[in-house]
Amino acid sequence: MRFSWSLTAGAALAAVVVLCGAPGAQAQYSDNKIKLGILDDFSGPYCTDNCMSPVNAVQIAVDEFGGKINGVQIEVIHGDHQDKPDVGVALAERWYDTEQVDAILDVVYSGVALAVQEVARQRNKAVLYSMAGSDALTGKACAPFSAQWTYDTYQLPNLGEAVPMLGKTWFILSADYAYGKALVAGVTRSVTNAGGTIVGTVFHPFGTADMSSFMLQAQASKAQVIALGDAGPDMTNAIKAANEFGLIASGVKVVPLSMDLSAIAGAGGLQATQGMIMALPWYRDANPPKSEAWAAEFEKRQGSMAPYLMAGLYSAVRTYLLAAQATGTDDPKKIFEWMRGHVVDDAFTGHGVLRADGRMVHDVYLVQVKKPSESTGPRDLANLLAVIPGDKAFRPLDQGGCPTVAAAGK
Amino acid sequence: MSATALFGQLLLGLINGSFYAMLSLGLAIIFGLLAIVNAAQGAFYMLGAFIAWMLFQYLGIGYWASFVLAPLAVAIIGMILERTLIRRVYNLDHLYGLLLTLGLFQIIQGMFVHWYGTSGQPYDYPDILTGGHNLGFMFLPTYRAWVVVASLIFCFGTWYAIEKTRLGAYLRAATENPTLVRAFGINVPMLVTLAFGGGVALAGLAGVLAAPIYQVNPLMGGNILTTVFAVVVVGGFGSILGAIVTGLALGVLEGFSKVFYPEASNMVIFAVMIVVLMIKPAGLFGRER
Repeated sequence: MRFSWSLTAGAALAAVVVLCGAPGAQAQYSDNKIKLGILDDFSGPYCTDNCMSPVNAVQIAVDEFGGKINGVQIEVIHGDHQDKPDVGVALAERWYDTEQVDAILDVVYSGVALAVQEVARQRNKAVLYSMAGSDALTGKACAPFSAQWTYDTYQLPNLGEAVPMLGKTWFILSADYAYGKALVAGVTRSVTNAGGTIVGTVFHPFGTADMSSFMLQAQASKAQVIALGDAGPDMTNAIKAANEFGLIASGVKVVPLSMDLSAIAGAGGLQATQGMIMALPWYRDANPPKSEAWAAEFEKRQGSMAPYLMAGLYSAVRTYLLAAQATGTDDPKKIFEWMRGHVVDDAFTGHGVLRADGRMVHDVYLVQVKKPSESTGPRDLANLLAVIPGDKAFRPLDQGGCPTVAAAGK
Repeated sequence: MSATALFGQLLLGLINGSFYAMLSLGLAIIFGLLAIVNAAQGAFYMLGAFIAWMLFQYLGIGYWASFVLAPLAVAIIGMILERTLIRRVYNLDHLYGLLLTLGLFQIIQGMFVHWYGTSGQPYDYPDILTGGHNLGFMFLPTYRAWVVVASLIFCFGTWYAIEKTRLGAYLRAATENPTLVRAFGINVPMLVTLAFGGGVALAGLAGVLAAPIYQVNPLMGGNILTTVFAVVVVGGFGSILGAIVTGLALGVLEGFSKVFYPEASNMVIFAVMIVVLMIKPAGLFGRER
């Protein structure tokens, strides 16, 4: 009797939900669906690991909602911007204008992201960045419904907090292009402010295979810390050379700024990278047990180790969907109000806050790569040295020059 | 910068130069004997490194066996391509050979980018060549010393085989006057195929030598190819000794530029190339034809 009563109550509750929830939802979600568009490099140099990791990261978030919010379908599409801003802009315009895309996601390569930012701003549309790293996206080029979730070029080299732990004399080896120069400026500023000294800076051309000469120069400078401001194969070759020429064995701390633990296998494994220091926006113990569980799910789908860029993308999408669920709308204004008013607590971070300029502020983790003998398995790669609090890791809100923030402050 | 530190840079330059020497030597042989500007040489270098990696990854075959097997496999692939494709353009202008091999390069590189992506694969040092020695002015990794020794042996061995042995004499004669050499009962097409195989095997060998030092990456051949071409132009297209000496010398020059003006280190070789082309268009060791 008792059982059938609860069954009846359940059915009644369901009826109420259907009556009140569903019609309301139909009225609020434009085109009666939530459509997300991943705009990335699906064929060129920024596509790594078969290009599908962003699709898998986003799909995990969508699947957590059962593919639906308040009875409305969540649809995910992806497009290839080929690392060309004009192609990216054309796709973004088509998606927003004629294909009912509610939010554009990820956008690897800042050259495209900065162009897409303008498209989103003109239309008052939502855009969520994880792989795009330019700090201009939350600075001079900020937009009202844009969020940069994972990292930026201010945060990556902002290592002043680590100076007491790593050492006072720094040598910087960086790539001779805008990204490398931004990182050098960041390291120089933060290390000098923290009482350290830059004893040498070298810019190498893009695509330099042999880094041994620079390692000899770094050795001669007697620096305690070497920061690497390059990326991709250049960075890997620099790491290999640092190891080969005995710098790490002699106690020099090597800090590859663009490195992630998921790239260790490709950089020569623990044998070649042991002792390296990294400042990571996320690692698999960032917010246990959620972070570990998410990483396991991602690795099951993708077949390779979870990178922090993908954890950030997942978190951005999950937060967006939570907002769409709670507010019962896909209106960017209401969604962003909700996102800014709620703490992010998921696999990516335990206490993230989305700021008015679009910066998602979260902790950064200073880790050291383990020796091969210390590691218990292919995912056990690093020891945590320190947690850098989000407000120390990211650029303060008032220093970015975001026009909407400045206007609100007056 | 102290004198001892510069001595360290000199040694590093020689190490890098020995890579250039091996790669440009292969190019010089192929051009000197077949009159083909082999733009696919970088792909064979990459193949050498990748085959070594694959032998270890899939079959558990280590460095020393790969040191023999990978160049052999590269030679076989090269000889198949020579027999089926490259042979057809011998009688045409040099430009056709260049375009054909450039296309082959793009296809081979594209296949590996498709299969393995551009993030690179790790390859470990052989156990007995890990570690290094402190020479006082610099720390010399054992493996780098091995690279210099191995490439010098192979470079001068190749030079000796072509310039001083009977087989080398046949080869040189076959390129000067194939009809006459054939009249002596020598299988000239076979000789040419073997010469092509030998030339690309040198690139494959350089790839195996490079695998533990650099990242095994589908794009590694493209990065080094342009530099190697400049080396060959400076040395004189087709000149065996020129390729070896210029490779070492330009490696040293590049090493020094990494100390004094690193931003220009990828350009200094091309600056030299331009000057040489203006003063001595046939290259430092080349003969006017």
